[in-house]
Amino acid sequence: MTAHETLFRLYYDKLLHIAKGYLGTIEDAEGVVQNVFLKIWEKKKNLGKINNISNYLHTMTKNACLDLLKHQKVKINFSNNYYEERIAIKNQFIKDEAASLVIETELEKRITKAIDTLPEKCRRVFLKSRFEGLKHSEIADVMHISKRTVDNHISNALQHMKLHLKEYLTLFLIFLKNI
Amino acid sequence: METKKALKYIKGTASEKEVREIETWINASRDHAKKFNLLKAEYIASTFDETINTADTNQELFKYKANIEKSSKNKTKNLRLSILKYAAIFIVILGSSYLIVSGNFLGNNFEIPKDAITLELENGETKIIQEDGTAQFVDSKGNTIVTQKGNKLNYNNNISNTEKLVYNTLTVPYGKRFNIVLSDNTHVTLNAGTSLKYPVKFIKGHNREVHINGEAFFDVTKDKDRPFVVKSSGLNVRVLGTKFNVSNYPEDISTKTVLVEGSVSLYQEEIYKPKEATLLTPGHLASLNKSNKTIALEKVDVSLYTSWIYGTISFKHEPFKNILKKLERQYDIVIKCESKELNETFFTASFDNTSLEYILKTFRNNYDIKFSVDDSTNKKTITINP
Repeated sequence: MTAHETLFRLYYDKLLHIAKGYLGTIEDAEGVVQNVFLKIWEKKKNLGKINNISNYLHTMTKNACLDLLKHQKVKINFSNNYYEERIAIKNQFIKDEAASLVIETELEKRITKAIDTLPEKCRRVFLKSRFEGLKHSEIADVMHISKRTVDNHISNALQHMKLHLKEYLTLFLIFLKNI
Repeated sequence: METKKALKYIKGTASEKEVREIETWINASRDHAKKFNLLKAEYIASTFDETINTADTNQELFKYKANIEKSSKNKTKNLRLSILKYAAIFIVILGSSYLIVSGNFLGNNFEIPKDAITLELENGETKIIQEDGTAQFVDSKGNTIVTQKGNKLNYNNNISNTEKLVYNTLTVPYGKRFNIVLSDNTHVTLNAGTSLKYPVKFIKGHNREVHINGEAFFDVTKDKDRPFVVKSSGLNVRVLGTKFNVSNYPEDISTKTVLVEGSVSLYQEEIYKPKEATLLTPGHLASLNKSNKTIALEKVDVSLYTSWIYGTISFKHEPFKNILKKLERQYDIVIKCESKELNETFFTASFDNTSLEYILKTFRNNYDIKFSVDDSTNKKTITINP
């Protein structure tokens, strides 16, 4: 659960903001984002294969919003032509790639803001252990560095993280246990 | 398009007339739509803080966990029956306010030191158990009922059948752990600050009932005719044959049961009614809230709740004050922390068989806390300052 919890804590409010922008109401947005995270949980085995987690989550959010709009459209289909138009505007906005890029860039910026003060290698090691769920020895293999170096990077990461992500720090102690 | 008007539309503050104007404009051409989209995207990108500051992430995380619970429940439904066939392993953590009264336990007997492991016999006599010694205890008829070898008590299965339940109580003080083998060959490991009351011999046709205060890991011998019931204030855990952990510490707001494998039933009433009991599935934690008596289920890493048997100290999202209480028990020390803020801060951590000093240093290195150690009193006292 801890990796998922961290993911949730990092992304929830940001995806909620984006979904609210797409759908117009916070209530709809909450339901959509919950569903996104539930899907993540169900597909947890695939998480390690994702290269860009922000892009992945953003895409999932967009698809979930489109699904919801489709449902709304079916509901109002015969009742009001005017609302259908309004949904069409929302729909094309979600699908607009230029607009998506603007939003996603900001999302990515906000997520990395907290961790970009880390030294590059340290950050990579940290992200690998955090989001890809790799064991420290596996990270060492993938990055062609010694396990001790991975350990050092993670403990450095912890030192830096405390300034930025104090509340997540405790979760990482569990990772230390698994070295 | 007027940017100002479009922004009003995006913010949702435009009048109905303005809304129509803007929408007509957007729908007029692909180019218009693109311009509008970029403006809206930039607006969304620049207003993240609005949602971030108002979102209740903790509340939503709670919902998320409940959703996961629901979803994995549906999946395990089909598995449940097949799992039931196998010997089960599970853990129970129960809460009560026992430790507060545990002093009375030794109260009548002034010569018993507080740091001794004690065994209370059926006649009320309290024996001190030396961890490195061997001993035998006999009943009123002179039969050997239990033998002690080192840190294990072994109850004799062969004593003559009795019709009456006779109870013994084993109490383990702070800083120690102890093992016991009951007359049905059920193995129990008691954690520091724990007391277990159990019949010297289980009687035919009766449930096997024991009472726990503190924390213990059970490896119950299978006997489908005589369910094993672990009783604690407010909660009963019923099993046929399985391994589980029971904890019952006063600082925990809930009574917790964790299942590693198999299946157990939890019930709060005096009498077991299958329909009203909560069935626990593997890998899940059931928390009975002591104040409102509701049981919540969540998926957990079970090793967090069992690793203490091997000397590991784990806490999952626990307030600092509770962690200090656990450390006090584990190391038989006194820890003082005056900082209210720090006491209410939640931590998750796990330490393998380490010294107290290492644990304190880990906290010091990651948070700005200071601590001082006072060895001059008869109990080591540690004072923590933020």
